[in-house]
Amino acid sequence: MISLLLISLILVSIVPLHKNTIFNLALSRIVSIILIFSSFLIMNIYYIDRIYSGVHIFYGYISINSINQVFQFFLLLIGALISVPGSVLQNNKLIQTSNLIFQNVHPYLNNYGLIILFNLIGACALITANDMLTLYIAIETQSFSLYLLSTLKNDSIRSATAGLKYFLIGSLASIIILLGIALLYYASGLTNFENLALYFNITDFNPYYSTLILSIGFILIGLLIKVGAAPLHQWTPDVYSLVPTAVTTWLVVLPKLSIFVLLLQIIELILLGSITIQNLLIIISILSLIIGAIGGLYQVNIKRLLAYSSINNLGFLIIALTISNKVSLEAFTFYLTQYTFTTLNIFLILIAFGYLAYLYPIKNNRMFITQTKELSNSNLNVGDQTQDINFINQLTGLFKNNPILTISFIICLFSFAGVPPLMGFFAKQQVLLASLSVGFIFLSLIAINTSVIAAFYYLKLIQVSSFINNDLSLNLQKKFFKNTDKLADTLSKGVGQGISKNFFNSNSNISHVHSYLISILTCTILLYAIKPTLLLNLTSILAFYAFSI
Amino acid sequence: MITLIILLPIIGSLFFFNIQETTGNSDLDTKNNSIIKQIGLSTSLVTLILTLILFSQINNSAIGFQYTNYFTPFGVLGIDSISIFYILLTAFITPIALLSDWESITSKVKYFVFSFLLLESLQIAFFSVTDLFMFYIYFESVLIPLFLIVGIYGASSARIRAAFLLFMYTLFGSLFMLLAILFIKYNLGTTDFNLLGLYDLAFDSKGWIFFAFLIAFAIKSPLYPFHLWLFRAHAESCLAGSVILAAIILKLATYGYIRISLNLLPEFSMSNQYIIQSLALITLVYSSLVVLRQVDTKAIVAYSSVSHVSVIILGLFSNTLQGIEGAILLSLAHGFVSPALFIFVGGIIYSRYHTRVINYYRGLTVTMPIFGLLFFIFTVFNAGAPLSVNFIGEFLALAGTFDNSPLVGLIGATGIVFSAVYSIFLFNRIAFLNYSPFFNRSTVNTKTDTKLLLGDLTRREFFLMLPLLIATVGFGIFPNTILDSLHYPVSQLLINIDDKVNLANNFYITANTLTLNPMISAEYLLN
Repeated sequence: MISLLLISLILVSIVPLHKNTIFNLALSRIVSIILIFSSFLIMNIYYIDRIYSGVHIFYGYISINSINQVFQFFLLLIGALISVPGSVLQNNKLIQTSNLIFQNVHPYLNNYGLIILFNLIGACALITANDMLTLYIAIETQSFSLYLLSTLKNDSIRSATAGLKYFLIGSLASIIILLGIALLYYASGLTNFENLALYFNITDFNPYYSTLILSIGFILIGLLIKVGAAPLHQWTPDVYSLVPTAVTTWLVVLPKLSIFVLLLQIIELILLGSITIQNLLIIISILSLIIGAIGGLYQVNIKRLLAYSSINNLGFLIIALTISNKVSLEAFTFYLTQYTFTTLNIFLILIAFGYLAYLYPIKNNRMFITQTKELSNSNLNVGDQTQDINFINQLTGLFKNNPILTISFIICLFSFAGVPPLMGFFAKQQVLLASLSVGFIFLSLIAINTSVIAAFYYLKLIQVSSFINNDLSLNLQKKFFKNTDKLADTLSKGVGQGISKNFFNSNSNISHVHSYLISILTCTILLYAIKPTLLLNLTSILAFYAFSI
Repeated sequence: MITLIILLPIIGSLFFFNIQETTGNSDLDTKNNSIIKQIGLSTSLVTLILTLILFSQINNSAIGFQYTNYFTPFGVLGIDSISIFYILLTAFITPIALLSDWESITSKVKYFVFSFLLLESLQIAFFSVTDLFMFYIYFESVLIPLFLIVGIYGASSARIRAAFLLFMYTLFGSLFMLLAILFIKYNLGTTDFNLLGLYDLAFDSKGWIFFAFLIAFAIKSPLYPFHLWLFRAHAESCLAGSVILAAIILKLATYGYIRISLNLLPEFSMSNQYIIQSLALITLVYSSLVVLRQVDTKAIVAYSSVSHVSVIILGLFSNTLQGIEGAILLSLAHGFVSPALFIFVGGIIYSRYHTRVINYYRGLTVTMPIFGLLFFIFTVFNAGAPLSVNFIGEFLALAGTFDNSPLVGLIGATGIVFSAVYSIFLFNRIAFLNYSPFFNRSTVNTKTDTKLLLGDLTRREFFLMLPLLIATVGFGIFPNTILDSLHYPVSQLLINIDDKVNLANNFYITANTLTLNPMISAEYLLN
């Protein structure tokens, strides 16, 4: 039945082949609709109560159980949500832009849909993998599409750098995983997860014990490089900051989600009978917590900062993974869900800030036409300027111009900082409860202290975006046109005021879908405390299944 | 009823959320802003009335929590005769805070009013939860609006540092409290106050739980090594923020001492009494001496709050009826007097002369006689003069402390002298001597209205002072209106402390004798 899903995904991904005839924005919408359709298809293929702890298909290469069924649904839904915000409202008309790049460089965008569909096929196969070979093939499918995605804007040197860096590190990780799989096969002659689990259980004295531990260590380290956990994290800030924001959203949210769901299912296997691997995981979690908290303090680039914040969050996730009892797996599931929601929301808001804050040529606005002419006279190429928010200082004065959006941003940041009654606090509290319950008091103290340190840079973002009351538009325009005196003059007088009014008051806004999305995610984060059982019951049932597998 | 009181400010704020708010100076905008403020003010007044109704219905001689409601979105709610006073204080101070910044806030009024109403809801929820975990949640969640209030509406560029200090200090402290709460939750499986009261929390002599709570409360109250955030946050915040910070936020810690340190962990409170008392004494003397050298008027009032709070803590940990009752009374009294002083220095004279540096002020009685009179009354009340509820509270707290330990009481009583010194010194410098040469038309901000500049208190300012004055003098003459309600819960608290401490002592004595002396243990077993 899963094959039906895969085939339907590939079939509908033929749609982008008609790229010359389909409106660009419509394509992005079609991709979203496909993903939403497939997510509901997945939910309806099997009933949760029937599959219980899993059915195997394709001769045991793939297994479907409640956990990966729910997370496939979640994954596809998140994928659909990321591909939505590709448009801006100008004078209440939907303007065709991409969520990646400028309108005038949009031809690349037509591959976007195909790539993200392939990525999601890889991710879905990864979390359903029941065999080392499936795992490897799936993770390669996922990674290759991510390399392509990060170099999507292929005339930019930044994207090329990011893609190359990501490709080199990612393929290194893949090789390490492959080496681990080969060693495992050498030592045991098995690749299937369940056979491996049986093998670990029944052998009293194993001559290949150290090789087995080594191989599992290799596989684990390969996976942790792919998610960017701490000592192996150096590529994440670079890659995240160099690619366009929409791609960063994809890179931050989806691979982590899929790899961690995989780890959630095979953690029993990984930890089986070896304290070494558990110690390795604990060391990685401590390093992630500390480096994530301290590394973010001196960042000026907002995406690098968020990369470090995600490293800090990984520390919490790995703590919950390491403990691996029912309470901690529940905490893990909940933390993963919460982390995905909050990160997604923060990046959607950053994309929205980018739309609102920056000037970019839109052809049916007369003012912009004149402005583009002047710009072209002054040898300033607008096309080179991405509409991404890159630096923290670019957020200056946002509260003055768009208070509601900024409040959503603030809520997300407070949730990351772990301030009650927001969702992030409850996730951290569950992880800490789990770690205290097995006596990891020192680890909990480190986690708590690093989350206080990390709170500092979240507060810095809030401070920049809301405490300073500079006029955003004029400030940005000065920065934008600082090498042309004439333009600076014009802008600071008439045109500048015109733009700021036109941009921030009523005429221009982010699209309705985008703003609904942000508001729904923000409300989820904010109002979670009022009815926590909705999500808690789900995570509790999933943890029960995960523990009983 | 409690649920309604908690929800009401948020419901009220829904009414003004659709009103278009802009930052211009046209009549329409000003009108919209004042509509927003009026909705906010009337919401908080309705909340006050409901709280008064709740107060009139409460049973003063019942044990435990009343109006308990287990099924609310805010956690398990319930009040007793102690918490109702703090709820009343919150509901009483919030309209005053809103009214105190009525004219000085001109932009983002909607979010300003909303954050104060949200703060009111959170504080009332804090004082009415009967669950340790929800207690933590509300203790922390007041930080979000406070951080934004201090940061966005604060005065100078130092506000950013103040906001960061406020947030980071409190977050750091309360995370230890979170660890302790999680530890309790894991070991006992519950966080409900009633159930926890039945347990002996001194299992395995986990003294660190007490210190985890102590750090959180010591930062919030604040005690000596952790006080650095306080005067900055109070001085740099907008006036309404200072009022709320001084009147209620500091009382969160007082309430925490009563509810958790004394009620749930009495053995540790009593065995570590000397640590807390010495910290409080250091805070008292240190902050009293520091006030004398301050030049920022708001920082002076903030530091005087620190020294009063340390008297409150001395009273709370005195293990006597009059000490604890006096401490509660003093914390309420401080909630009336320190907002008044903040409004004087941060609102009334700041709105006229736009400086907080005390060296510029002189001779304000020349132009503002009513201000001089009221300022004098509140200054001496702050120093604990008779007729004020501060006097009753301070006297009872120090009497209890003296009863418990004469030396501590003696050093604590120097606080009275110190507070008289710095209060009178503050008043002297601002009110007397010649009229300050700095305050003529040319030096003061020219935007200030001449009528305002040379005029006395306006009607708004006077009626802002009046309820505070009435409350202070009224409860000062009839303190029994509060004390009568406190007798029962406080006696209950003391009996509880006594029981648990005796239990612990007996247990340890028995255990030691049994292990150390086999003869005695044999005798003990035979008997």
